[in-house]
Amino acid sequence: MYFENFAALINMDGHGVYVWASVAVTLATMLWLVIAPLYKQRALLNEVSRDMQRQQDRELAAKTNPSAPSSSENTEESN
Amino acid sequence: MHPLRKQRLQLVILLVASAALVIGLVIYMLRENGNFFYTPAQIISGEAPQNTFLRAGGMVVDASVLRSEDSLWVQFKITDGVEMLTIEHTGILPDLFAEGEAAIASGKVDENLVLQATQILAKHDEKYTPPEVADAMNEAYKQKEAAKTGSYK
Amino acid sequence: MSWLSKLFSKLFAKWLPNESSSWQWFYRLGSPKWFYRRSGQWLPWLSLAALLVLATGLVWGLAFAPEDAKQGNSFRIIYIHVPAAFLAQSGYFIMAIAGAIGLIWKMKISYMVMKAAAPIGAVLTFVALFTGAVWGKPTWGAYWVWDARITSMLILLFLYAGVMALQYAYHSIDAASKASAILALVGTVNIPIINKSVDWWYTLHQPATIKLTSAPSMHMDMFMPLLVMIVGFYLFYGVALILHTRNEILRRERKTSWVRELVNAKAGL
Repeated sequence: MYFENFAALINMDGHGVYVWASVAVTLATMLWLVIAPLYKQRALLNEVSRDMQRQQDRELAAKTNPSAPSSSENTEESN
Repeated sequence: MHPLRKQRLQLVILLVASAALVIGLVIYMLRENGNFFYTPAQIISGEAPQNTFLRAGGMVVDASVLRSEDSLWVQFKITDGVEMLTIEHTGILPDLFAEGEAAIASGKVDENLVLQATQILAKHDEKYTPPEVADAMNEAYKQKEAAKTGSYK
Repeated sequence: MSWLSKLFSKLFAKWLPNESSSWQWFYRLGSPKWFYRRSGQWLPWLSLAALLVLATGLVWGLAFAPEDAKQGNSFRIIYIHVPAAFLAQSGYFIMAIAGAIGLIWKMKISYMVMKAAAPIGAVLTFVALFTGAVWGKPTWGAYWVWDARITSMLILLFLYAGVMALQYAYHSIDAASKASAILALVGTVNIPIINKSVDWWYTLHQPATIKLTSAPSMHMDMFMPLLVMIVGFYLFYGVALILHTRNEILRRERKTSWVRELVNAKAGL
């Protein structure tokens, strides 16, 4: 290592606060850039699965009770 | 390529080219104002605007820095290799400020052609060297200079 | 002579450019389904590579590279400042080229890549500006100055923000994509301005350390970790772009049968 010990690495002759602040902000924003889409992906997949569940429920309801008013909502399927 | 796509490609190229042309012209007109500072030669010759806030940039002349003993007042000269400009400032100088290095001073030029600066910035170059290498280079430079002066004798 | 050309075409049919074969990869790449599948296979490896290279470069640059003779240790900010600024500009080209492909070939995936590239580029531009400001204080003596390099970099941030804003300004995805692509393309003229600003004008910012045409003006012990960091940032960019593009695919194709099959397959696991 270029520095004599760990404390010197943190301090960096007084410039440590600038260097480490830059590193911290950079790593935090970069991490957010990959973590956020992973959460978003889960939400999107859940949404698709909910959509499918709702459609299945409607189809089932239409089968057991053809006169059910829910049939008007079925137009969504064609989108 | 499909003629329709070719047409769209031409449109895209036209778009980028015309935008580049317009912005290029704007830059051409703003050429001078794009500069962050004036050189000492521009200020001495009166090319730079007078009686107004401006920035002057150049190399701090060796052995020109005078410091006050009881205040933060400092006086030094900067040069662009053509002219020299005297600068006076009261305040803390950046760490990288040194003789032989570039500096930028902002303020107003007074009637004695002295720039009364409100801020001093240090400008550094794009070269990075480890301390030992820099020391070795300075040593080699000194030896070369010594050899040169020696040969004149 | 026609028999000769016939013979030639028979012999070299395999290598002659042919619409269906040579462009197939291009159109396959344009299929959101194909891209989603394939990128899912690439992601773990690319992420691992990005993590390893970035960790190596960061430790090397921060703890093992020598300090600068004049600036001391504050120069170490270069190891994140320069790669971030590099990718902010490369990323803009990627966004603009994706927009151009979308405008010309109407390829669905390219508009999605363009939309995905905007927030990533904006974040990297912000990182470059932020680290530059923090570096400026101990070296120049100021966090911010309005010189040509820094101002043109701020314009880059606004261009990214503009592309992002246009995506939400229209109800129709097609209109939003077209408007964003045009803004992205017009904005490309800013990239050479950023690059050349330090040569065209007197600026506080120093000229480029790394140039394609000449050796870097930096000691090798300092340059090697910087090179590693730049490679690491490119790998990271690849990971981020794929992740954001995959979400855009899911968002736009959520009604299609292949996405539903995908969800079913996941639920079945």
